[in-house]
Parts: sequence; C-alpha cells; structure tokens
Amino acid sequence: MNMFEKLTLSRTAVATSCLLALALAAGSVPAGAAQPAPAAQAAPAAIDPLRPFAGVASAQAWAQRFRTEAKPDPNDRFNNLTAGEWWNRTWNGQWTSAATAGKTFAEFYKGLQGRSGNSVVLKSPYPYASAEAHWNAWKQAAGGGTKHTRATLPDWSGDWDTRTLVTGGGIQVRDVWAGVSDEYKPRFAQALQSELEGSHWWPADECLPNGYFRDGWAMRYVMLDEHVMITAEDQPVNEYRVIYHDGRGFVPAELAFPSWFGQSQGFWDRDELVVWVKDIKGWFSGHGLPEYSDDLQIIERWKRIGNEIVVDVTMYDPKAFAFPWHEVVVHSARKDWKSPPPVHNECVSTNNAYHNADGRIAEFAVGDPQYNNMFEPRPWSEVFKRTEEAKRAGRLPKATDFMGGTAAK
Amino acid sequence: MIVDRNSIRKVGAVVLALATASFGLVAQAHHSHAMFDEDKETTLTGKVAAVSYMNPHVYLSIETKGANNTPEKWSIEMSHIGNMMTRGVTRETLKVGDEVVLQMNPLRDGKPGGSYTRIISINGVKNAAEGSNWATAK
Repeated sequence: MNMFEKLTLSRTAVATSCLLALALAAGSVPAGAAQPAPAAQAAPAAIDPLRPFAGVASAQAWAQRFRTEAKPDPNDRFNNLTAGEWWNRTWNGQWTSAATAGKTFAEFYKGLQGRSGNSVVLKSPYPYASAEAHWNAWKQAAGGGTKHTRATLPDWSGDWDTRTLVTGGGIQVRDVWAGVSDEYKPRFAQALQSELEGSHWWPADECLPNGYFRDGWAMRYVMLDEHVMITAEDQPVNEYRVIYHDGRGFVPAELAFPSWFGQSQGFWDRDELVVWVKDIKGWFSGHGLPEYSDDLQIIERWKRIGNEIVVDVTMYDPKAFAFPWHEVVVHSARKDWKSPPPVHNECVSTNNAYHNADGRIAEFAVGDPQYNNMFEPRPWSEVFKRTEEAKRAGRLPKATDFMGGTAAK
Repeated sequence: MIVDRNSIRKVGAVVLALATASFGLVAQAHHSHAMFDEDKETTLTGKVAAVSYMNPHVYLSIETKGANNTPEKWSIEMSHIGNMMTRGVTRETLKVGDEVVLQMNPLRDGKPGGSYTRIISINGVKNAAEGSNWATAK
C-alpha cells in the first residue's frame, strides 16, 4: 500500500470517528456520567519567572513542583484516567473483546477506572501571553544573552534517555480537556472516543513522524558547537532537531513553512539555553492527547544539572489550547549506550499496519496484494521480474537482452 | 503446564500504567495491538522460512502445513529489537530452517498472521523461561 492509499484509509477512519465524536458530544459516552466543570488545578509553588531555575538542585526537583495529587472524582467523565492509561488500557482492543463477551459499552467504560491518583499542572506558571513576549522577557533578563565559544559551552555530549510529565501521559485526561480550546474540544472528543473503541491512530502506525507531543523532546544524542545544537531521536523515522544559537534569527516569513519540528532559535543565559520554536506543523500524536495547530510556538529553557538535562517548556497555541501549557522534560545520561542498543527505526520497509475501511487498525498478511514482504532481501528484483513478465505477456515492448542472458532471473 | 500468558500481560500493563502515571518515559509503540485477538492464544508449528531482525518490529516468517498438507506462510510480529534482546531472543536464536513451536495472538480478521506471545520450543529444545522470554535449560 502506498502512502496515498494509507492516507485515504486514514481519512475514512477519521470520518467514521467523527460520528463517534458526535455521540460523545451528545452525551452517549460515558452513559449516565455527570459532567460538571472540572476543578481548576492548583498552581505550583511560586517561581521567579525570569530566573526559573535559580536555586533548583536537580531536574527531579523541578519536575516535582509540577506534579499534583489527583483525588478520585466520582463525577469525572474521564473516569480519573490519565492520558497514559487512556491508551495503554485500550490499545489491545479491549472494547472489541468486551463487546464480543456481551458487554455494553457503558459496562466496559465503567470498568475503566484510573489508578494513578496523580496528575500534572498543565497551565504555564509564566505571566506571558505569547512566545514572543516570553522570549523578549528572558532575553532582556539575560542582558541580550551570553556569548560562548566552543571551549566555554556546557558539556552536553553523550547519550540520553527522555522522560516527560504531560506528554509522557502522567496527566489526568480531565486536566488536558480543560486545557483544550473550545474549537479543538470536538476533535479531542473524537480522538478519545476512537481510542476507547480500539481505533487508535498514531503517526508511527502510518510511518509518519510523531510530532512534538511524542518526539519533540525525545533525545538520544546531542551534538553541540558554538553555532548549532542538534538533538537526535531515532523513533519512528530517524528524526532530529536543529537549534541555532548563533543569533542568526528565523528565516524571513515568506520563506518559512510549517515543518515537523519547526524552526528553533536560541540564546544562552549563562549555562542555560533558551529556545524559541515556531513554524511547527499542526499534528496529532494520539495516546490520550489532543491535536495542536500550526499556531503552536514553544519557549524552552535547557539546563544541565549533574547527570541530567532539564527542559522547561511553555507551549503557546491560542487556536488549540485554552491557555498556555507547561511541560517538564528530563534527559538522563545513559551509562551504557549499547544497552538497550541504538534503535535505528526505519518503519516503511517492514510496515504492514494500516487502518481498514472501518477505521480499525489491521495488518496486511501473506496473500494480501498490499502485503509488504519484509523478508525479501532484494525487493527491487521483484519489480524487475514484473517487467520481464510484462514483456513476455506483450504488455511492454520486447527488448533485446544486451548482456546475452547473464542477468539474474 | 501452560502459563496463562494473558494474566502476565495484564500485570505488565498495570506496571506500565503505574510507571507512566507520574513521569512517562517517552516509550514508543509503533501501532496499537487492537488487530490481534488477545483472548485467543494459538499454537503454531512450522519451519522458520525467514527472519527480519529489524525495528520497529522483529518478524518471523513461518512455513506451516495447512489443509491437505499444503504449505502456508505465517507472518509473526514480535516486539522491537531492544525488547527481544531483553527477552533473550537475539539474532542468533532463530535461524532459517529451524523447527519452531510458538504461541501467538492471531489477527482478528483470520489472516495468516499474529503477535508472538511465547516460544514453546526450537528444534525440539524446550523453552525454560517464563512468559515471552527465551532460555534453554542449564
């Protein structure tokens, strides 16, 4: 199946899910659940908005400020589930199994109750209304920025494992819902309903980039010099980000276009790297999280503390979000780069996953014309054989074998 | 004794859920597993026709004897390389021509494919490990 066919099937799946979202909007899911306005989350302890990492002893200590207890709410229409629970308790087709066993959807959904009792503060702790205002405030506080040479740059070399608070799935779905704009809530409802029913759509199952919510800060390698920082993550399609911190600025607006990770510009505030990202392609990562739009702009502050790099992330997307979002990313130095071995994902050559006409995830198997035979070591040879067959059948003009019959058959 | 693989997986899912509840490792699943029927565990006996030891999934092509002894090829999806190595299934574990008995969750649509859950034996050597791990007796 080529990419066009995959996208066509995906659109079919989305159209099907639209109907499901309408059902959610109409109150059919979950049946009978009250839908009060979600309680506002408590704000984290006060921080200095211009020097947020001042006095922070560890990346974990920074992350801890944004963790919050989530007491079970019997009226939570999202059943006290976190975003992580929303996908990992539905991704094996549990609803299909339950329906086969004779359960109603209401019975199935009632059985899905959150267990974590935790959430994350999603609302940005900063007083800025836009990424630009945020960037300008931090740049002014840094006196225009610190000029580094290769010798004075912090050492961020090595291999890293990444953990995230919000996009890692540790946030209650109700808290995410409160952070989604009215315009984007129907889309989120559609996605949540589809995941509940086992019709997950994840970029990787289409061999597409995961986007910011799954891979924006996922990092295995860092390459840093005085002009550019490159962070590389090799899932699902060997992605990487380039962050220029030589003051070059963004490309002119007429040359800019949305891309998976957008454009990143940075400056140094002593040993902390401040980054502004824009021109991000709007995308959807699934996994209990909503879409973001082309308007998303991000401000990051990176700092190495011991064997960890903490990234403070603020996301401004007035189209998709109800307020600026906050995220914490922690990269931990990997002691042995060989364990687990480097992933080096390359999805296309082995992928047989697709979404069928009913919007369900399925796999092409042996015998399907679209089956991608990943066991064929020379797939090009199969194409050449088709040409030979077409010549024999008269569908293509005869051609003289100029190598006198020595070519592989 | 046949171990209840589904129970093991359910416990694993709970552990995963708890782990992601507070601070999520950016774990990557290539696709959901809703296409596989977790309520069924089928035993497949055949010869390894090919191995694709790649990411995001390791795959086995297994040649079995179908109705009237006609050969059938099954495509068995395994986890990614890191997981398979952790489970003791390395590049050297399964070779073309090996006689293998394994268990899988079959595709819900009945096509010749499935998601591996356990290796029972390779060339008559029984699996001495639990669950989806592989080890020979010492």
